[in-house]
Amino acid sequence: MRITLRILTVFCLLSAALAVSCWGACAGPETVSSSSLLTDPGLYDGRTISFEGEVIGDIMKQGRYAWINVNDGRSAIGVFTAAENVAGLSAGGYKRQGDIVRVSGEFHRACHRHGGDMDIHAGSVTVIIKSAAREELICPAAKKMAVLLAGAICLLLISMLYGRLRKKR
Amino acid sequence: MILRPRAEDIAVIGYHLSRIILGLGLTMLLPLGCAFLCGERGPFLDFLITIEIIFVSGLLMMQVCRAVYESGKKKASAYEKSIDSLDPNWMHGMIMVALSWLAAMILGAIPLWLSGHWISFLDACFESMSGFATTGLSLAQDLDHLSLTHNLWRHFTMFIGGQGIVVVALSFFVKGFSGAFRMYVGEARDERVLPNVINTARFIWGVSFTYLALGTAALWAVGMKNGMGSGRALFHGACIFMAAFDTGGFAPQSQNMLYYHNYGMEIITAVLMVIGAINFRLHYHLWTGNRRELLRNIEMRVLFVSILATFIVTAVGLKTGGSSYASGGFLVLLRKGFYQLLSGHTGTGFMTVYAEQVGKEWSDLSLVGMICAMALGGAVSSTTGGIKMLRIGIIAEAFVQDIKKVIFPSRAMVEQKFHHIKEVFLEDKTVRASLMVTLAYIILFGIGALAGMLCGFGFIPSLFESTSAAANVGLSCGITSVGMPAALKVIYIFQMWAGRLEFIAVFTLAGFLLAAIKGK
Repeated sequence: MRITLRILTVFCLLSAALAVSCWGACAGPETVSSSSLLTDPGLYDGRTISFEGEVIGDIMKQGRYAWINVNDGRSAIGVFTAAENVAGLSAGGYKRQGDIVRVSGEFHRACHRHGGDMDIHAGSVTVIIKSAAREELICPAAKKMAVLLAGAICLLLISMLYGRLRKKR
Repeated sequence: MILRPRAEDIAVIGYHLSRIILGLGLTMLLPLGCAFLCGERGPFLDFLITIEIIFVSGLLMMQVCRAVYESGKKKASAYEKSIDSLDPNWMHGMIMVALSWLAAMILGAIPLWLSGHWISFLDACFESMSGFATTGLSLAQDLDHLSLTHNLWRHFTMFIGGQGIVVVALSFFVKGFSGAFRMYVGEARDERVLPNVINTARFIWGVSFTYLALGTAALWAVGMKNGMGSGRALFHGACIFMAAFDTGGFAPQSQNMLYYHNYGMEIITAVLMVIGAINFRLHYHLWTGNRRELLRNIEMRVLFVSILATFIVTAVGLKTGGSSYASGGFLVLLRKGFYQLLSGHTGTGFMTVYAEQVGKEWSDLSLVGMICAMALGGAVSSTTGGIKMLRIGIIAEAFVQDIKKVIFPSRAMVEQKFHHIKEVFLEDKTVRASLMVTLAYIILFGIGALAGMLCGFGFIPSLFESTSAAANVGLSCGITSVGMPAALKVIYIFQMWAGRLEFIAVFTLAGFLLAAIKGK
């Protein structure tokens, strides 16, 4: 009886662990990299996926919908979503690191609605890390170099002028 | 016996080359001003340093060449004139052109390299040559965070290179230069629009600036409608115009034209690409009201037939090859198949698909269609690369003439005519010249393909990438990347350079170097 109880307890615990892990897997769609999407687009075509990366360039709102482009460090993928999902988002550029977002939605290898573009029709866009200003790194040696070269140009111009004056005389 | 070039020859070449280099330095004032206005301190320094390097090297070179020439003038009677007023001969002109493009590549690469977005100076040189030669293949890293200033320079190199580096110098910086036509021809512009070559250069700029205003305005409007801010839309509009009209193919963002997800943008760029692929002489006739020329000109007819034929091949390849567009409608085929084909045929290189998709999803048949389109190119004296429509037309007319000679009685005089601005009788020397350039292009495509295969890539992808580089197109099937072997980068740089100059200047430089080594 005791042995049966122990076996039952172990079985229940294992089942619970399995159920928790399955629930975890089902709770959110699989996070896919741009590399996987470009290498094997057929595998993910029409499936709901999750994609993470930085919003770059522009937030292109067109009425009730909007386009953003999300770069995961290797390639950027176009994301089509409701305009309300992109409200308050910041896009990255030279002076700014854009919002790092997680988008979840249906991946299209060649979206027929958008002329064959590879895109994600996202149901949700979640900001993981807020955008921040990028620091402009200026090498101190570059400043010195600029001053030195300016001096060299002045010397050259003076010598040319002197040569011309001497020739005239 | 090969004669070794004299020091005075080198001095004349070097002196005029230094003037072109100084002219190039002045063009960098535009990105410098942009950096100042946008408050981009790092890029401002990058361009300031580059301009200073150009001025130091240009002025030094000018002084050294003048001194060498003056000392040689005392010994040789052939050089009586001063170096300023000396009329460079054909050899001087051709070598100046070939060297000025190499100098532009190196000097234009300096600010790119200083930005840190290109991992080596070779990569920056690749980008610079790709820009000047209006190719559009890119090795930029993290392009989405590149400064506006550097991005403007990337696109501006296409505008300069599209018109011709020497055309820029002739138009704005070199006054009363009698050897101008030789250099103009050296830049693969063997047709003068107007009797005077300086006026021709200025007409080319007039056309370019008019289209710049119209094209940028149209792209700006579409960009704003697409949801971009007005400032960003204007910047993107100007950059995209320069890349489209000059059949370049760079774009401000890493996704190229796919970034916009907008068919309006694609329609406008398609029109601009075709306008850029038209001969400037034809532009002149259209501007002066002779619109019938558009329908009668052999180049336009061949271009129409060629686009249609290559599109059929590509479309059949896409439909039957299991690509993701097979199940899409005609609109999908147009936006993905036709746009890429037009981009390749006009030598532009804009992409609305990822390079990886082309390499992995497009069938061999569709790639062959694209390769043919890229190899054929646009019109002569336009901003496109490739074999060019006039040459294809002439070769086709020569075939027709030969067939007629077989069919007609032996006594019959078979004269073949074609219409290119005026009625032209087909001559053997014209056919020979066309065949020679075509053969040179085929060899150049082959060299790149062989190099690609030696680096471990397949035949079709290697030929695709090689044709794209040599015909100054810029479409990629994924070979062009930071990780590709350095030797392949060098070969692609050579292909872009030789393909843009259409060989004559390159062959002359090779001959000159050979004479310097082996001559007596």
